[in-house]
Amino acid sequence: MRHSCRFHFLLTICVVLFVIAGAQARAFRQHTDALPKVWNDLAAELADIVAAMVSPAHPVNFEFVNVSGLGAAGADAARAALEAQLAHHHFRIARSANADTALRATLAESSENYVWTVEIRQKDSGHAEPQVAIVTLAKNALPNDSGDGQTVTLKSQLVWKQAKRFLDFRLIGGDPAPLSRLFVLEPSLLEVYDSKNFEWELQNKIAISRSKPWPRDVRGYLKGSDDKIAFAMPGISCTQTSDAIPAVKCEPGPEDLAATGAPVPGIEVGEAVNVGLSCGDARAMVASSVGDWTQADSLQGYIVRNNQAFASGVASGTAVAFDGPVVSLVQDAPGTNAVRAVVRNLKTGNYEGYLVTASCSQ
Amino acid sequence: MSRRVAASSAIACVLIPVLAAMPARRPQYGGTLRVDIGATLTSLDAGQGRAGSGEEAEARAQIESLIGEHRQSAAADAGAFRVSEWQPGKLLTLAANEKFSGGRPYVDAIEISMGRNARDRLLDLELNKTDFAEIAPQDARRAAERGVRLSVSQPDELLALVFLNSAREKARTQVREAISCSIDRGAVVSFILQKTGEPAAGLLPQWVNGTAFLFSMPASAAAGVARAKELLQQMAGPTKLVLGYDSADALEQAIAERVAVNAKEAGISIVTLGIVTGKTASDSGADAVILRLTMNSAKPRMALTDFLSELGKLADVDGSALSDLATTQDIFDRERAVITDYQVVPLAWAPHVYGLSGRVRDWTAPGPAESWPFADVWLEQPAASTPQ
Repeated sequence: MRHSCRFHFLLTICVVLFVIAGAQARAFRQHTDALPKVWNDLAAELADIVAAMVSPAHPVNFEFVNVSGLGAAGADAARAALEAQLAHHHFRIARSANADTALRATLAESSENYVWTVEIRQKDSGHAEPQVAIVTLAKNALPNDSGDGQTVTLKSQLVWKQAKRFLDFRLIGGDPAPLSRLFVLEPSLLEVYDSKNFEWELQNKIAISRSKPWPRDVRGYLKGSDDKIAFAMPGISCTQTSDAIPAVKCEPGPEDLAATGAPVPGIEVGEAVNVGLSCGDARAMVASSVGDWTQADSLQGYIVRNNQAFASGVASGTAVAFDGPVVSLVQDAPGTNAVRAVVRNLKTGNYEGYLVTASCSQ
Repeated sequence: MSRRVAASSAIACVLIPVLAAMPARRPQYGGTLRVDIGATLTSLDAGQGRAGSGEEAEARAQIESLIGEHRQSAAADAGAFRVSEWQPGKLLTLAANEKFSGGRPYVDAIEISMGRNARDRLLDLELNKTDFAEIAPQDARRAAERGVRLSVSQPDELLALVFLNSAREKARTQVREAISCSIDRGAVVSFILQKTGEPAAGLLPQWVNGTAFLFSMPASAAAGVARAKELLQQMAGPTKLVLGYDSADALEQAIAERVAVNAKEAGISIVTLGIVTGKTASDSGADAVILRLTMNSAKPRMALTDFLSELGKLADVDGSALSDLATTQDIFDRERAVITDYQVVPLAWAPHVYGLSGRVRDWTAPGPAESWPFADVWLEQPAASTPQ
C-alpha cells in the first residue's frame, strides 16, 4: 500500500513535469513561429558573429532590450530566436548576474532598417569599450503584412504595394491563384499582372498618354466588369479591348472625374463610399478619417439610417488603422461589400492597395 | 536614451496639438503662398550655386530648386514655378508653371520677402503676415507657446565641439575626454535648444544609422563632472583652452558659454572667443571650436562621409570617404573611432523648424538636402459665404 502511494506520487510528478515541459516547448515554438523566417536568419547571423568574438566556455549574462517599433510579441519572439541561436553555439545563460561575460542585445531601428546589436562586455578583456556586433534588416525586405483581423466590422487585406505612386488597383479572381489577374493604374501607365505559380507576374504595360501635363492631384479609377476592365482619368476614358494580352482603347473624357463617394450624413469624414450591405433596415458606409495627406489615417464603418426627414450616420465597429493617408477610396464593384483603398505609407514611403471588406453582424 | 526620448516627448507635447485637428480636404488650387526668408539675394543669375553666406547659399539653392532652369523668358516645362517679379534684395514673386511636367503646383504664386530677420519672421507668423518661415530651433518652443503652428524635421544638424589640429599638444586625450565628460548635454538640449533636439554622443542620429544608442553619455551631469575630475587628477598642471564660435551665431555662442561653465566645474579653464566672419578657426587662436554640421543626405554612409570630410579639415580625424559597400557595422566602427579619440565631441542634434500659417496644407518637413516642397503645398481657401 505504501509502495503504491509512492508510485502514484512519482507518476503525478512526472506527468506535471511533462506537461510543464510541453507547455514551455509550445510557448517557445509559438514565439519563434511568430517571426518571419528572415528574423530567424538574422538571429543566426548575429549569434555567429558573437560566437566569433567571445568563447562560450563560461556562462554569460544575457539581457535583451527592444527600443524599436516592433511590438512586444515580435520582440519576445526575436529574443527567443536569439537565445536559441546562442544556445546552438553552446552559450549558457547564467542565472547570477556576475558572470565574466555580459551580452546585451538591443533591437533598435533607423528609418530604413531594423538594427540588432549585441554589446559584449568581458571582465579583464583589456577593452575599455564593449565589443559590438551589428546586423541589420531592411524594413522593406520584410514580407507583406496582411493587416487583416483588426476589426469585427471591417477586414482589410493588403493586395499590392510598391514604391511608385499608383492611383487604383483591381483584383480579379482573388489572391494570386490560377486565372487571377491584377490591374495597377499609375499616372501614365496601366500594369497588368497575371498569377503564375501563386505569384504575380507582369503581363503587360500599357502607356496612357495625354497632350498636357497631368494635374498634380491626378486621380484615376478602375471600373467595368471582370471580363472587360475600364478606367477613367482626367480627360481620358479607356476600355479593355482584348483579354489574353490585355490592351485598351482610349477616348477623350471629362477633365473632372465624377465623384466616387458620398458624404456620411451628419458626420465629417475624409473620403466615404457606400458598400452594398444592409444592416437591418440601415445601409453601411466606409469612410476615411479627417486629416490631410501628411497624417496617418483609418477606415471606419458607418451605419446610415434613413429617417423620415433626414439620414444620419453612426460610427460602427472598430476602425482599421493605416500608417498613412488613404489617398483613394472606391467601391470594388457595384453591389459588393468591398472597397479598394490606396494608402501612402508614411513610414516606408510605399503606396499600398488594400481591399477592405465590410460585414455586418446583426 | 531615456533622456533623449524624454526631450523628444516634451517637444512633441508642445508641437503635436498645434498640428493636430486639421480637417480633411482634397487639395485646392489657388492662392499666394507668402514666404519670409532671412537672406538678401541681389541676383538670381544661374551658376551662382551656393555662393554667399550660409543663409544666402541655402536660400539660393531653395529658389533654384523651385524654378529649376526656368527663367523668365524660357518656355521649358522644367521647374514648378517661374519668376514673375523680381525686386533685388527685397521681393521675389514666383508664378505657378502651368506646363510643369510634374503637374501644375496647387498655389498660383509664391511671394518671397527677403531680409526678414529671425524676430521679424516670428512676428510675421504671429500676426499672420506670412505663411511660411524658418525658425531657429532655440526659438521653437517660444513660438509654439505664442500659437505659431510648427513643423519640425528629424534632427539633421550636429552640434559638436571640435579640437583643432593646432591644439593637439595642449589638449591631450585625457583633457579632451575630461571636457567631454563635463558637458551636460541634457542642459544644452533643455535650456539652449529649448527641448527641440536630442543630446548627442555619436555623429549620426538614431534615425539615420540606428546605432546612436551604443554611444554612452555620463549617467548624470554630476557623474560626468566627477569622472572629469578623476581624469584631471592624473595630469600635472592646470589646463587653459580657448573655445571659438561664429560671432554671428547666437546658438553657437550660447553653447560655447555653456561648455565653458561645465568645464569650469570640473576644473578646466575655457575662455570663449567669437570668430568674425571671414577669419578661419585656425587663424583665430582658438584651440577648439563649436561646429554646426548639417546632414546632406539621409543615407548614413554619405552623411558620415560628408561629416568626416568637414571634420578632417579642422581636426586630426581621418576624413577619407567610406566605401560604397560600407555596412552598418562599418559605419558604426568608423564613427566610434572618431568619438573615442575625443577630437570631436558631439553635443546635440538639432532639427530644422518651420513656422506655418493655419491655411497651409500638405506641408511635409523636407529631409536632409531636400527642397521646400512648395509645389505640393496648397492653401485652405476661405469658405464661400452662404446667401441668407
